[in-house]
Amino acid sequence: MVRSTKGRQKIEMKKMENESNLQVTFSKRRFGLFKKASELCTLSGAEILLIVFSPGGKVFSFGHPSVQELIHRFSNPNHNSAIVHHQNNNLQLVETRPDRNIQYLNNILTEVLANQEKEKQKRMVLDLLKESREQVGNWYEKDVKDLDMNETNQLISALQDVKKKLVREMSQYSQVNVSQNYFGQSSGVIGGGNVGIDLFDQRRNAFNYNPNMVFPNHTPPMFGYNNDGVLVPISNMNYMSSYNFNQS
Amino acid sequence: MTRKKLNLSYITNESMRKATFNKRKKGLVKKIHELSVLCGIEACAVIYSPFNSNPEVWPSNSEVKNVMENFEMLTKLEQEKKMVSHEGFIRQNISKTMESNNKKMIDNAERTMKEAMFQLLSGKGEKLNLTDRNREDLCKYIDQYLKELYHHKNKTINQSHIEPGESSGATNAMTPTSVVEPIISSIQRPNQNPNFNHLSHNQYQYQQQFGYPILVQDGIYNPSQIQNQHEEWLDDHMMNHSKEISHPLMDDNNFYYQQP
Repeated sequence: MVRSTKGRQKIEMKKMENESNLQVTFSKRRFGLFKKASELCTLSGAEILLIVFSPGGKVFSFGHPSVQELIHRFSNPNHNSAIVHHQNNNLQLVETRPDRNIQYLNNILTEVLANQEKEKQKRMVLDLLKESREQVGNWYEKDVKDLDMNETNQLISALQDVKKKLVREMSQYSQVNVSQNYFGQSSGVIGGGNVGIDLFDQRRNAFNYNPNMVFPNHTPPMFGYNNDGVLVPISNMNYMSSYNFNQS
Repeated sequence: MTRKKLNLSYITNESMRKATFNKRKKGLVKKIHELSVLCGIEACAVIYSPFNSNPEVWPSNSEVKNVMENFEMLTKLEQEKKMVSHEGFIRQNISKTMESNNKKMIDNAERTMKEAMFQLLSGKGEKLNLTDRNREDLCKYIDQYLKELYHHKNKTINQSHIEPGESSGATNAMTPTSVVEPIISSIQRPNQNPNFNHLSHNQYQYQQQFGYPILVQDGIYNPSQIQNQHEEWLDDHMMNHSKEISHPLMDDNNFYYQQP
């Protein structure tokens, strides 16, 4: 069985021949390398310098606290008093107070990655649903371009009926003043046609993240509403903080 | 041993922090090695830690110095173009992941609408606990789908209606235009000479006052009228002009009537 993707597949540890693959590999692995360095800085307080020259000759660098500072430190190892002094300060700093901005950004990153995981799971559910639907194979579920004239007309009529029904239900509910809140969970069961999957989850608002956003000095509440009133991604649906982000 | 989800924050326990550092440091060094081998590039890493005064370097001290020298030889702009700090990298990562999430959310929303639509067509609408917002979104999706269906239908109809051999031409309707050409006849009676002189004088005065030729000049060459009507028309025209324009022309008229 030939694999369609390169996941979980060992590759030969030598220079790649294909130029296009080389570029893609560099881009992906360079990102992964910097990510690992970032995590190591966060977890253990290490100070790491990375300098990478791309196949095209450009230079990518990562440095914590900064590239210039670490280059200077590496180039001047004989300043023992400075090193010792800095080490002492560094130890004290690391022991007592990690960088709050870094911590705050890492919290946001954790939440964003959690959302990514949710979307992936939802996609898997939809894939299962689609697979079970295709097994039944109703005529109206074909691609639009595969329909003939008769089928097209029938489907148009059916959809118009469905839409009228939906509109009627909406007006009916609004008259009765029933505000129905649905908080379902996605779960998939593989079955022949009868799939009890709740399609609609709680609606999420997209958080417009500003990379140049400046965070306050004090430790803010975990999450809340930003200045535009958009709900920031939260792990707890019941979290009702009213904290506003400061815009620079 | 089950892998435990790691919290991305500073590890306060010192022994655990040190163990994590050593373990992950090896992984980092391995990754930069793989990158440099696979892509055939130059790279270096320098890792300072609170646990050791001497930094961990890859590949070696001399190689690191070499890479640093190459780095320093570049212009400041080239150096900083792709330079990131720890904080900057996390921001980039957040932006990148959020953008990806937005695309995934949009795609998932569309697919959800499609599945819901097909379930409604199958008569399983009761299982969907729809809110008004869901119904509204679903109506929009159905509108979009109907638009595609109409487009497909029109395309099919157009294909079936194309028949070879049919020709169509425009009807050429030539309507002859009747052209009436004015006939100019010269006035030769000698009795009219003083009048013409007067008219010339009047016309000259008119030009002097208003800077453009008097329109009555055209009347002189209108042959369709008989002599008496011709003179009357001239008088009427002058009177109209005098009323429309100004008093000085009245004096001319008075002068004209004093002649006989």
